[in-house]
Amino acid sequence: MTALKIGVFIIVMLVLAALVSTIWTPHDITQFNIPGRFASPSLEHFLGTDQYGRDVLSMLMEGARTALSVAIFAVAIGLVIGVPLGLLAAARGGWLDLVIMRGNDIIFAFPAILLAILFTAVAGPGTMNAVLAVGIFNIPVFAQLSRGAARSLWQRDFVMAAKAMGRSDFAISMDHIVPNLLSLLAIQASVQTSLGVAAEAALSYIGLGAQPPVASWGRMLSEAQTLFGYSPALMVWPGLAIVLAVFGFNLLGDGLRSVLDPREAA
Amino acid sequence: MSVGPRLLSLALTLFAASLIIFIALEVAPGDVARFMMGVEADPSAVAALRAELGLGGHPVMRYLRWMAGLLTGDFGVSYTYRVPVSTLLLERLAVSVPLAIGAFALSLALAVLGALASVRSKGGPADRVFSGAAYMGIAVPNFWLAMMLVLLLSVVLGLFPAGGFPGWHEPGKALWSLALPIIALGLPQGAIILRLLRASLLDVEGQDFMRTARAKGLTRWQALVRHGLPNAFVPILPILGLQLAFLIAGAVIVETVFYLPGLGRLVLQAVTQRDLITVKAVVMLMVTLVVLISFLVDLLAAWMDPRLRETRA
Amino acid sequence: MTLIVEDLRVSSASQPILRGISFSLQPGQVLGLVGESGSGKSIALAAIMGLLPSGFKASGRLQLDDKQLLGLPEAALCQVRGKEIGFIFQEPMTALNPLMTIGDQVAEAVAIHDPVGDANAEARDILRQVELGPAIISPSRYPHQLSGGQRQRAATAIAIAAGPQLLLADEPTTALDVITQQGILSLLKRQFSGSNMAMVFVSHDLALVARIADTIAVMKQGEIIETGAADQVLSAPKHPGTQSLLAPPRLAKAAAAISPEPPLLSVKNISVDYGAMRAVDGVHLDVDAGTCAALIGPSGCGKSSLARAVMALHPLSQGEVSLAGERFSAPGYRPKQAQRRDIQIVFQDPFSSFNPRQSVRRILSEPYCLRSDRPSDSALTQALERVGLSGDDLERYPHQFSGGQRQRIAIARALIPQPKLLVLDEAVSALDAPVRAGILGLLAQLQREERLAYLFITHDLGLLEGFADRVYVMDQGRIVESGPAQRILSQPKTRYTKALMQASPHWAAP
Repeated sequence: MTALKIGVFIIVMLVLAALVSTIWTPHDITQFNIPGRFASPSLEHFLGTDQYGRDVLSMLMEGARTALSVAIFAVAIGLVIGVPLGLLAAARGGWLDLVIMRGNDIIFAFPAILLAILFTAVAGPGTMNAVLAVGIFNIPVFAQLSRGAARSLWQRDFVMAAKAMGRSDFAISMDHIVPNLLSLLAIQASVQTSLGVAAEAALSYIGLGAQPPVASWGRMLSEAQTLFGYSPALMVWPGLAIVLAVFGFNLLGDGLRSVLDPREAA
Repeated sequence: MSVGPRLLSLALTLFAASLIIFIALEVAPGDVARFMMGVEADPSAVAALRAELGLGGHPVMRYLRWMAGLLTGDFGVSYTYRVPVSTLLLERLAVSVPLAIGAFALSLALAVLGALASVRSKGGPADRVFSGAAYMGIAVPNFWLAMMLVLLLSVVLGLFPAGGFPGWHEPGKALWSLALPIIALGLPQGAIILRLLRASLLDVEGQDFMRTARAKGLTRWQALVRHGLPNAFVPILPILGLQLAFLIAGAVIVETVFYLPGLGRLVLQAVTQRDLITVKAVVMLMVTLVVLISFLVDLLAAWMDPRLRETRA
Repeated sequence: MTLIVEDLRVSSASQPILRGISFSLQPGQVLGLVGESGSGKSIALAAIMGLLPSGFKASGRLQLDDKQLLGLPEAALCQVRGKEIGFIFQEPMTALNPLMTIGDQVAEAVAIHDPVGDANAEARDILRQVELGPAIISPSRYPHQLSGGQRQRAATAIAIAAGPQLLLADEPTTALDVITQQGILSLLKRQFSGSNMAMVFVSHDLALVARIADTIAVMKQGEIIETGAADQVLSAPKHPGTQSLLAPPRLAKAAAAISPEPPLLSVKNISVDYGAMRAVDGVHLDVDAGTCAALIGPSGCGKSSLARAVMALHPLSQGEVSLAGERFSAPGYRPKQAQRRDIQIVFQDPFSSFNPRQSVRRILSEPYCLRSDRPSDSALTQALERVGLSGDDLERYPHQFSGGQRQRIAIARALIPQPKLLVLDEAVSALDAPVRAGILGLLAQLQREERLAYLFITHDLGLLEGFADRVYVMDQGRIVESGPAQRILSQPKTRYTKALMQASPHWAAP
């Protein structure tokens, strides 16, 4: 219960920061202020400034927006495409199941980060392509999860009873399969979101994610790395932001598991 | 499970992956030569490159030529490095494979010790420390951990080199320069495996044969090590295989942080320099490694678990 | 070896589980510990072994010869377990380590207490004692390659490997079919003849325990409510709780008139395959309108596969099922929606019969897809009242009901399409005796009122008397004997049916 509460608290704070950053940040980060660069934390700049004199806190808020939107949209892609595929494979079985699952295996044969690099290499770097690059990998994740769980549900007596009433595969999927998958999907969605945040940071770090002037935690890290002689703190803040976000979504996932998982609900 | 059908499915997966790679890198971008040289390139230079790379002709023929090359060990010549890609791959594997194996061994050792200690004192202080550390550990991205290690151990304390790789002709120095990358990759990975193994071990501990083991007179620790651990490993073996493959292929970012000349950095440099011949070869190699490792893991699982050995149910 | 249990109390989170039980055991004696599930009998055994789940606390006195077991340090307890006390568990499927050969597992049990001897040779001897000698099964076999009965023998071998003088057996035969049960019981009996070994045998089945125990202690809600010599407790139980454990779940039923009409359900020469395995092999079976046909056989004989095939839930490989004179299922043929009204099913497990996310209202509304009207409050209330529940239950969820109540809901759901035939797939097997009697009573009443026909599938012959009109006996996918219930139960022809009858603890041979 406490895990869930802390997770929700962290995520609400991050989402708020991301939303607020669309209309207001403490300082304008598109303006360079070279004389005021590498400033230490102060009342004006809570976390100091970077090599161009930009306010680090403002950058982090915008970075939250990039990280969350990439991760959440990528999960949405996985859910919207992967879950129906998994349900279809489970309901129909036979060659359809075989084709869908072989397709999954082939995507899984590409390490996720490699797939994302390849995708952005062909399609070009950018926030939108980062969403797609991370989303591709989420499709087989959700397809496999929903197929596995749905298949065991199809063997359950209540589905047998529904079949004995002559209900269609689609009606059974909607009435009996999907409602029993929701908690599992919610848990996996929060896990995949945490992976998505980390993946966005990694892609941006190697220059294949969000492009300037859009702020991103990963790019802040790669810029700070060349400067750690001047200001090691610049390397610390974005990293802590990533850890916090990943940690928050993991807590949310585990919290949801303990609340929703039918095995733990008496 | 018998080996024959499994080998067939391995070959099919590799074939499908090679098609995807070929289509993604040679057909999808349109004119490959123009893609590699950029839009503002001189048309005659583009034509020359097209001829040099053998980019003329029907895509099917080009695919077959690529395949034939792969099967005979001819991966083509790198466009940027001007050396055979196979030479490049071997050089880079000499860094990536030791890095991956070192990190994997570290993470496995951490996970086994941590999971055993934590399950033995379930709910107690050791469990809290290990579970808590693992929980924080999975949230730390390996490349940020790498930077923090460099900052602390190299810049501040000066214990380790901050990056670079001297080559294997100086084995001591080479190993020393792999130490931090191994820790940066292995610690978060160890946290993931620890959590998996702990959950699996807790599952196994609740099973009847563990009670049988205790009823024979084994102590809790003996029962955990002799009967619990092997059974706990079986269900997580496939995930362990994926993790090892990830360590070979997915060290891209950590290699970048430490300026290590591994496979990951090769593919990244090739991508930014649009050296599609090298990209194709590295990606194909990585996919082959992933598929091969999961095949070996299946064999290992069948060796450990007699139930998986039956050819027919 | 003498075991004295005095005022043994176990509690979990200050909730009492055992409220002070006492008994004693002399060498060569067998004590039967009987009670419903949840009465605390397994916890008592775990307490004696010192293997209570974490969070459970025990107090009282557990005297094994001159040792007080409670409070003994863990290292000393490890010396007692296996060496002085052997333990046999209920589930032979899961009690053995799936990754180790049975020979190794027995040898390990020997070697723990005797590190110098030749454990492997001794293990082979012990396996021979439990009739698993190398001639029958090699010690290098793995548990999944053994049948249920063989696994229980292997588990017994582990329990006796280090030569304990006290054996604790926790429902060792419950998961086995009746014939295998018989074999394990005689094996255990033989272990005692001529030895000084003592045993505590735990079971929920009083009739079964009476076959092996000298003394019986009946438990209820963490207390022993009655103790006595086995035949005395069995023939003249004093406590009403004991009587309910013993009450035969039999029913008197008005004899159904033999109808001249064609059979309601006619199964002709059907076979069912699961992959390469043929689960049902050329079965013929008829059920007449308003009668009850029983299908009996051990677990794994293909009964449930047959039920699924009859319901057209699994494709037939050959043959035909017809319902009310019309084709219902055949290879490549799926029944019409309207036909499904006539045949409905009730499953064994009252826990998995319902979608846990649906209220009783939604559960009972689903079969309206087979009717022309819409579910109304009054109709749903009526459906519940017919099975002995009330309209207040409509908004509740399955987990809020007991096993027996759920089975009533399952029956209510199956009756909504107004079927002519109900398939009861082990529908009462998972229930305690008193609850089972209630459900059987309900079924008999429904049959009288609605002229419902049943295909009653069970592994327990004892349930059939007075309830079934026809009996089909199934073994390994085939029908081995069939005929009127009176005839089969009084003069079984095949040896297999005789064995089934003898082995059924509920069956008092005439």
